[in-house]
This record gives sequence, C-alpha cells and structure tokens, in this order.
Amino acid sequence: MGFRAKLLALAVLIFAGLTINFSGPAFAGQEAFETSGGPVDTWNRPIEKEFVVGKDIDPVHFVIGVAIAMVLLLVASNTFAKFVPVPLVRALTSVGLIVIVWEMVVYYKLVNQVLLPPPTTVIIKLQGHWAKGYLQIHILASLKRLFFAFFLAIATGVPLGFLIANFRKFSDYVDPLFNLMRVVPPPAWLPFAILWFGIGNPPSYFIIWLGAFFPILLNTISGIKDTQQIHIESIQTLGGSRMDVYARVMIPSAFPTIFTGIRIGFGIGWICLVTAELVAVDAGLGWMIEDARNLLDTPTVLGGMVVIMMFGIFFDTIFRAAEKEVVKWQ
Amino acid sequence: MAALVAVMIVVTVLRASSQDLVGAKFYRVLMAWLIFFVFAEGTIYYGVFKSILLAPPTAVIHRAMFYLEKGYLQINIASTMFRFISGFFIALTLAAPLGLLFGVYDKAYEWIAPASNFLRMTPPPAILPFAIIMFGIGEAPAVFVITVGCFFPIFLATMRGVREVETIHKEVVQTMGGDQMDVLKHVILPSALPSVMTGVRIGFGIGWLVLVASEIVAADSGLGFMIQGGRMRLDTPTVFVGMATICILGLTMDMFLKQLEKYVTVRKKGGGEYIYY
Amino acid sequence: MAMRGETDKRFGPGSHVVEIKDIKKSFYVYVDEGQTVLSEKRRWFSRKKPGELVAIKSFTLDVDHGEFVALLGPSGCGKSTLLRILAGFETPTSGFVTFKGNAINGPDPQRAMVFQSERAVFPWLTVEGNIGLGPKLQGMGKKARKEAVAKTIELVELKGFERAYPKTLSGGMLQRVAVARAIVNHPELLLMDEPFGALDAQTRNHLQDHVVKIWQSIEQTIIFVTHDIEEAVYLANKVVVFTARPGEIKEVVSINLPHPRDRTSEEFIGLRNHCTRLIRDKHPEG
Repeated sequence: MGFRAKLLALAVLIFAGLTINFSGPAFAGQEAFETSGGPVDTWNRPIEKEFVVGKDIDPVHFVIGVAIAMVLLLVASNTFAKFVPVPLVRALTSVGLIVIVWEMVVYYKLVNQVLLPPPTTVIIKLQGHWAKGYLQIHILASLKRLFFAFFLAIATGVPLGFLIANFRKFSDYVDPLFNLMRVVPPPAWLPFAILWFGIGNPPSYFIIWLGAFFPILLNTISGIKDTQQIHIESIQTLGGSRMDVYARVMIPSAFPTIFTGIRIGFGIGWICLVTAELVAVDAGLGWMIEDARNLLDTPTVLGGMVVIMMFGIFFDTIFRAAEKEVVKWQ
Repeated sequence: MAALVAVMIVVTVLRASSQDLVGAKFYRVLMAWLIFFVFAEGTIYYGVFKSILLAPPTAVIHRAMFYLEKGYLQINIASTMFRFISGFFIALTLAAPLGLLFGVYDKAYEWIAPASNFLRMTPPPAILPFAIIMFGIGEAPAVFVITVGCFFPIFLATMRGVREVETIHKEVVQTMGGDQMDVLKHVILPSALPSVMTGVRIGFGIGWLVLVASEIVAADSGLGFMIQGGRMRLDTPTVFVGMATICILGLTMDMFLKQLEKYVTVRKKGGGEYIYY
Repeated sequence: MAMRGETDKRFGPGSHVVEIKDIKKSFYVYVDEGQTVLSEKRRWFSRKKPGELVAIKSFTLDVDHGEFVALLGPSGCGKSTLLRILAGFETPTSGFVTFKGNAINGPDPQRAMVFQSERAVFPWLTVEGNIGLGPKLQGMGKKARKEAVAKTIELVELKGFERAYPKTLSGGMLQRVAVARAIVNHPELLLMDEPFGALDAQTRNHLQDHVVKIWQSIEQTIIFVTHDIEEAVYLANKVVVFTARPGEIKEVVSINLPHPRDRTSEEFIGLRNHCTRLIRDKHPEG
C-alpha cells in the first residue's frame, strides 16, 4: 500500500473511532436487560438467588483435562513445529501449570474458597455472565470508552507533537505546561475530572486521553526532531517545497517512533481505563469488578481480571504485529 | 497575587541565568506563566467558572500553607511516599535477581518469557479489588498492587539486558581465565545495567501511576486519599493542593532518577554506554 | 591564479554556467555546554563575544557548460562549504554567485547534489520511489516517470533492484541510487560532495568509472569535491587545488587526457604528482 493510502486508512480509522461512540444506547445492550416482570435492582439486573447457569465443573476432571491439553500441545509443538508457535505453547503451558496448582490448592482446602475461588468456579461464573449478556455489556462499554479517548489522543497528540517539534515559538509557550502535566499521573486528575464532569463517561474519557496523550506526544516530538538534516536537504535539492519536507520527509521518517508511542500510549490508556472505571463510571469492566468486590463476589472479580488481561494481550499482539509492518524499512 | 507573580519571575530568571533559556525563549516562558496565572485568577474572580471547578492560585496556596501548619500535608506525603518506596523496593529486590537468574539460564528464559509477556499486560489497578478482598482496605493492597506494577518492567528489562550482553565480551573474560562468577561480575552486570536502569525508570513511572490510582480507590491516608476527600467535600483548593504536591514530588523523583542514571552510566567515545565501575 | 572564461560576458546566459566572484564565508562560534556550535547569526543573550571561523577567505571561479571540475583540498579547507553554497543551502557572507546568469536563491533540482553519506537515500522508499521522487515533485505523469526512472536505473546499472529497500543495499549501490536520484531530473549542474569517501577501494573505482560514463552520455556540468588526489586527476578535466583553511585557490590544473584514463600512464602520474606537491606545499608534515 502506498504511503498516502496508509495515511488515509489511519485517518479513516481515527474518524471511525471517534464517531463510533455516538451510535447506540448509552451503554450497549442495556435493552437486553429489560426484563419482563420479576424484581430488578437499580441497574435493571434481575434479582436472583444465584447468578450461576449451567452445571458445576468437577475439579478432578478439570485438572486432568488441562494436564492432557498441555501434554498434547507440547507434543504437537515438538513434532509440528512449523504450525504451532513454540513461544505461545510455552506460555500456555506455564499458564496451565498455574491453573492446575491453583485448582489443587483450593481443592485441598489450603486457601479459603471465598478469598480465592478455584478456576472451575470462575469459569462457571464467567459463563453465566456471558449467557445473560452481562459480560458483553461491560466489555463493550469499556472498549467504546477506550477507543474513543485513544483515538482522540492520537488526533491531538500527533499534530501537537508536530507543531512543537517544528515551531520554536509554539513550543516555548506550550512546553512548560506540558512538562508539568506530564509528571502528574492521570489517576490524580480523577477527582478533578469528576468535579467537572460528574460520574459517567466524560471523566473516563479525560483520564484515558491524558494517559495515552503524553507518550504519543513525546514520541512524536522526538521522532520529528530526529529527522536527519541530510534527508531534508536531499528533498530540497530534488525540488521539494516546505510542505514536501513536512509531508514527505518528516512524517515518514518519524513514523516508526510515533507508532511506538501509540503502542505505549495504548498500554497506559488501558491502565487508566481500568482505574477510571473503578471509581468514576457506572458500567464497564472495572465497574463490574468493583461492584463484585462490594458484594464479595470473588469469582466475578477474578473473572473480570482474566478478561481484562486477555484483552490486554490481544491488543498488544495486534499492535506489535502492526509495528513490525510499519518498521519494515528500518 | 502579586507575590505569586514575583515568585514566578524569580524562578524563571534563575533558570535563565543557568543558560537553560536563551534569548527569546526566556520571555516566552515568562509570558506563558503570566497568562496562566492571570487566566486562573481572573476567571474565578469574574465568575466565569464556578468556584468549585477551578481554584484560584491564591486559594490553593492558602490552603497549602494551612495544611503545612497543621502537619496534615506532611502526614499524607509521608504516607504516600512510604507506600511507593516499599512497593518499589520489594519489586526491585524481587525482579532484579529473578531477571538476572532467568536471563542467564537460557532454558528458564524460554519458558518464562512468553508467560511474563502475557502477564505484563494486566493493568495493576485491575488487581486492586482482588487485593482488597484478600487484604482488606489499608496499606497492604496498595503496596501489593504497586509491587506487581513495578515488578514486570524491571524483570523484563533485566532479562533483556542480560540476554543482550555481547558474547564477545564474555569470551574475552573467559580467555583471561575467568570462571562463571567472573563473567557475571565483570561482564554481565555492567553491560546489563543500562537496560536495568531503563526498566527501573519505566517501573517507577508505572508504580507512581498505580500508587495514585490505588490511593484514590481504596486508601485511608495519603495524597490520593486527600484529593478524593477534597472532591467529596467539594473542596476544590484541596484537590489542587494535592495535585500540585504530586506534581512536585513527581518532578523531584524525575530529577533524582536522571541523576542516578547519569551516575550509573558513563558515555564513552563513539556513543556506547558503559558503566563507571 | 588561472581564470578561464570571458569576464565581460558576465551576465550573458550560455557563457558560464556558474560564476563565483570573490566570495567569503564565515561563521560565528559559540560554545554551548562544552559543545562548539557554528552559527550564522549573532545571538543576543550570550555571555562572551563569539569567535569567528572563516571557512572561505576569497574564491573566484567560472565554470563552463560540460566541464568536469574537481575541487581538491585537505579536510576543512572549505570545499564542502563552497559546494553547499552552490547547491543553495548556504549563502556567502560576501561576494556573489550566479547560475546561468541568475542569482542562487536556494536549492533547485537544476543544481542537484549528491551527498557524502549514503544514508541520504530515503530509507522508507524503495529504489524506484527514491529515484522517482524528483520527477513526481516536478509534476511528471506516472507513465513518463516510470520511463525516466527505468532509463536512469539502467544507466547506473541497478536493474533488478527497483523494488528493494535501502536497508538491503550495500554502500556502493546506495550511492548509485543517490546519483540516479540526482540525475533523473536532467540537472544542468551536478554537485558531488566526496560521494565515494566511505566506500572500499574497488567499489570506489567502479563508481568513478560510472560517473565518467554518465558524464559522457548526458552532457552536463559536474563539480566534484574530494580530498583524494588520484580520484580528482582520474575524473576531472579541471582540478582546482585549495589551500588549507581558510580556503583559497592555490592553482587550477587542467587535465586534457582522454577517457578512460590509465592510472599507470606517465602523464597521469605526472599530473598526480604535480597536484600532490601543490597540496603538500603548505603542509610540511605531509
């Protein structure tokens, strides 16, 4: 794909990310919870005795099953090394070991079941949430927030970084302010944001934006400042105008660094998302965990953590793969 | 108000005289500060913003002085710093040796690296509710979460630093008659140190973020707690006092880290970084 | 000082491609935190009076169409600065320079420059992309561009590498791309700043032959900066020998040997020795 095409795709992505939040109900899937009759709590959840759906999982079968799966994977990775990526298998094996130990520790009553529920309970709980659509709502709410604020951070960070790197006057005015803001961790802004915007989506947008903005800004500045003079002169001697220097030299040259900044910014934005959701919102994965904690519903707490972790891994993998494509010329 | 402006001018002049600011930049920075303060004071004074949304710098300073007198600010700072330093140092003492161990033994590395790359992606605040269930509200969950947050950057960076040690340096020491311990002491540790410092720096940043987050969510003392309390009482100057304190602490630690990095690494000709040993 | 050309036809087009008249170039020297910085302008907030560095003391030269001029001198004598002034990246402190009768106002593809470092080639573009960038900026259509790029690639013998990224190419190939990139616009004047300095001897000789071949096939003026005496004598038909800094013309040596030149022939060695003596003259230590 040509460079212009890539830039256009990125712009479309950013635009989509920014607008996607304005579609649909306030929290996705809210209608799914409109129950026809029966008692509901303030959040429209049907009040039931047990949230659990489906049968219990027998711990012994579970442990044996996981062990067999691990062995199979190991064997497969040895014989079919080409089709099965070895690092992935190793990771899964480590995780599998932890899961087995965890299950056995609780099974043999070494740890209180309320404090640390076994994997089997967590899985059942998660399955129950998924069946009711409860999990999906929160996942979607979290993701929408994250992407909106994240793309906003790109849309503000990259142009600002460009201006700061290129125009001394601008940077002299703006730099002191940013240098001060940079050292304040975004969660510290939470109470301030709540004062301004109340509880709900806006404070979380602000906090996530803050978290993602600074790595993107700093990396853009550093990437553009690192533009080599010799490249600038090369395009000048080929007949390039000022705009050509900006668009055809500075931006492509800085792109890998900017992309790294975007990846790091996403990671920090992710952390800020969870933080904001613990305190300042009314739906989302963080909220789900905090709410479950208040009800001492540990399986949901752990389940929520696992879901968050998996999403984190998923996005990080995507970013690293994309980064490899971007950096191919370095 | 006038005192504030005077302070800002003095600070900027001091920075300028240390050759940090040259020429026109001096005036621009000064202008930026003046604009900010005039804006902040003026908008409150003329009621553009409701006074709960923004606190004028004068009110913030008054509140800060008040807390300093009563010792309230100091207690919270101490509490926050205690948590942070304990969490950070526990993480450091765990992560560095482990990183070294896993970096040196290839087999161990191959098994642990993919898993830790996965585990790294858990945002520490997500662990917080679980930690609260386990330990109750107080010091423990915060320190626990900070430790987890700081652990992974340091661990991964140490491992990477150890693995990126150039074989040729190891071979040199071996031809000089050194055994494993010598290789470790004279080659691996010095070469890996810059990488470890990078990990420490990242861990510091994440730890600081997690610290503030955990204090806001679930603590009974500390700066985050102070800020959250201020918000609940709609006491905006307190919120700003807390944020400004965090900012100052952050800047101090930033400077401290930079000095530490400079002390630990020395640039040789050609741009390579080696350790002052 | 030997000067060629007719001085009364100074502003007529077609007589001299380049005219340089008594230019001087100097910089202010500031020390920032231990680092020496050269600056064009004086600063208004500095403790000490700045030092002055004279890069070119006084230089006058006329260059005609189709000439191959080598600027030969020791390191730091100002020859690169002169080339940059010709390219339009710097302006002389005094004196004037004209190109085809007009003043020089900044970089222009008609005065294309090949830089010393092979990293001047854009790493994010392929070989095709790099060479085709100049024509693209000039507004050439896609088809015409493709043809021009293909022709130039053949000329520098890089056929088959059109879609390669600079990361995968050797230093010699990169410099060929740099040269191709400069000449695809058909510049009147080609400026080369020690382009083969960083390459090994065999590649260097190979590329020198390339340059001669290009010069012979596309009739253009080349000004070539080097500190390698043999290279200068091998390539140019006019060698301008510089003194050490501050730079002045020591002598202009005409070389009328036909191409391809024999490095072992008597005339070649004689001319080379002459230039060596000229350079060594001011350097008693050699």
